[in-house]
Amino acid sequence: MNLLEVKSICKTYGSGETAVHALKNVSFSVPKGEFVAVVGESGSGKSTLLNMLGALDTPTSGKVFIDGNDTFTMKERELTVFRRRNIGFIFQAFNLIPELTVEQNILFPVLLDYQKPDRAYLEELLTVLNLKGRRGHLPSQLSGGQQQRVAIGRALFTRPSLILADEPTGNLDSQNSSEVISLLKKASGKYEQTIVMITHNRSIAQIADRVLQVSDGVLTDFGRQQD
Amino acid sequence: MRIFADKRIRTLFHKIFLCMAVFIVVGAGVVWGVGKYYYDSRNAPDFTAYFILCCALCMILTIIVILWRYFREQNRILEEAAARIREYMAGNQEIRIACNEEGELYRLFHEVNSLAAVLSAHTEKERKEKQFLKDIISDISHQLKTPLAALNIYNGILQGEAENQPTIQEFTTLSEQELDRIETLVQNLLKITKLDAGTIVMDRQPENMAEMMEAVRKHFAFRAECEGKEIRLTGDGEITLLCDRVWIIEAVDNIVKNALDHTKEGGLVQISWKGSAQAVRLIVKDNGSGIHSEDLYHIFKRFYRSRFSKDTQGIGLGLPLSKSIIEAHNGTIEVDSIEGRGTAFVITI
Repeated sequence: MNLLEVKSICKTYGSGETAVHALKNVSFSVPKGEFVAVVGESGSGKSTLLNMLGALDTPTSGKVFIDGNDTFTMKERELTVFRRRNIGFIFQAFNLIPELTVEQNILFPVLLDYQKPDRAYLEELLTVLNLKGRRGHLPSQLSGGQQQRVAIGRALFTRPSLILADEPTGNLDSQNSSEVISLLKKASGKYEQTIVMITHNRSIAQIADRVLQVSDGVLTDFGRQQD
Repeated sequence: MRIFADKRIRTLFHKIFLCMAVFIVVGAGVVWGVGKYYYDSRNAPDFTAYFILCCALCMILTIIVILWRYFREQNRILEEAAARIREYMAGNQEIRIACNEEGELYRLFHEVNSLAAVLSAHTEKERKEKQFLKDIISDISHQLKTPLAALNIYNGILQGEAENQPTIQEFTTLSEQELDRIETLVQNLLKITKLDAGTIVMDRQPENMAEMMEAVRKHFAFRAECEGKEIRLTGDGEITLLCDRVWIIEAVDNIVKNALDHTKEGGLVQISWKGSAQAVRLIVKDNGSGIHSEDLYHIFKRFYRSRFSKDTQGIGLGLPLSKSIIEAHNGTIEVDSIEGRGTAFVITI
């Protein structure tokens, strides 16, 4: 069974002469536990696609199924809960909450769900992310790479079945980015998490199990690495 | 408060508080009203305690009704979830429990869903890996067939060319034996993977047992004569078995070959069969060295080589292949052996 099913999604911004077709009839499916890289030039529709997957934006037509749930027929209240439990987001611009410390930022989604945070897992994540010494700092006191690692920690902490990452290594040097990616891969392997990641970096795309290319809103599947 | 995240728990508490408030107000109102009504009369009966008792009873009843409805609803949700879990276990991999609500119960459901999804993913992965392994074995076996055939031909040529050179003769004969062994191995591997993959459909026709067993005997007649052993057939000539002739002969061949491998000169291999209303029983019995008791449970495992047998022939695929074939016919195979006295394989189809 596929964790993620995308069925002929189209997205058009504007109408008439100024209409921009960001996505044209995109369909694909991702089995559970797979690491998918999405490559493509700027403005090709990658981020639009990712927003659709995370139900942050609605498509003009088409459907997205996450673990069998049709995300666009859900009520907004249901969708919020669903997103919180099933999807982890890592944005290019980190989107950390400036008033909260590193630790609070990571725990935030769990506290939203009225859960008792798993302290042992927090320690484990902080160690792996190399943020142990920084847990009390505010995001503004951290470097870009550290902030990105906090964002990754936040996405991983709820153990979502789907992680959507929009150029998570865009602001990191090559050493840092390969560390971050291997961390993502390791974490996802442990809990059979599925990752869909946008990247510009060819070598990072090679780490993925499968590469999808978006160009001018059209998706091409480059196939899996192993078969 | 964490528990109030659940909408239904919140509503329950709201209802209970509302009910209490209503009855307190009603009770107080009635007591006050009655007190005022009898204000003037001197012999006013004092009903206050009764009023309060009555109100309290009503309140308790209402609360019990509210609680009863809450627990009934709770029960329904849990029963539904349990039914879903059962359905998943029955094989519907896509079933999930509805869990997109706030609250602890739904978080538990979510965890169950995650567990189900991970389990499904694992099974799928395992299945793929197994398939991959099978494909690889089958591919390698196929690839080995061609060079093997070529080697056999070269060996034949060498044998022909070196008729007068005894050393070369000796070694080409040895290499021929080894090549034959490899060929058997490759063929058995191919057959066993095909049986595993389920690509082979048994073409079941009514076949005469005596005729089939005669074919088996003929396969080994030459070898038995050379080694001074006897293969004896006993059984009703009329019995027929619904089976795939080629495969059944293959299965019995392997067992008879095994029996010949483990008997000394002058040994006897006895093939007998008996028919009953439901099944046919075929027994292959020898008076050879027998199987060590520790080996008994392993002889149908692939590539199993006994620690106790000094036999260097064979590769440990013959018996597993026989077992696979018999099982593909929905039959059973069992073995009975006394060390030093002989072995009996019993096939029931």
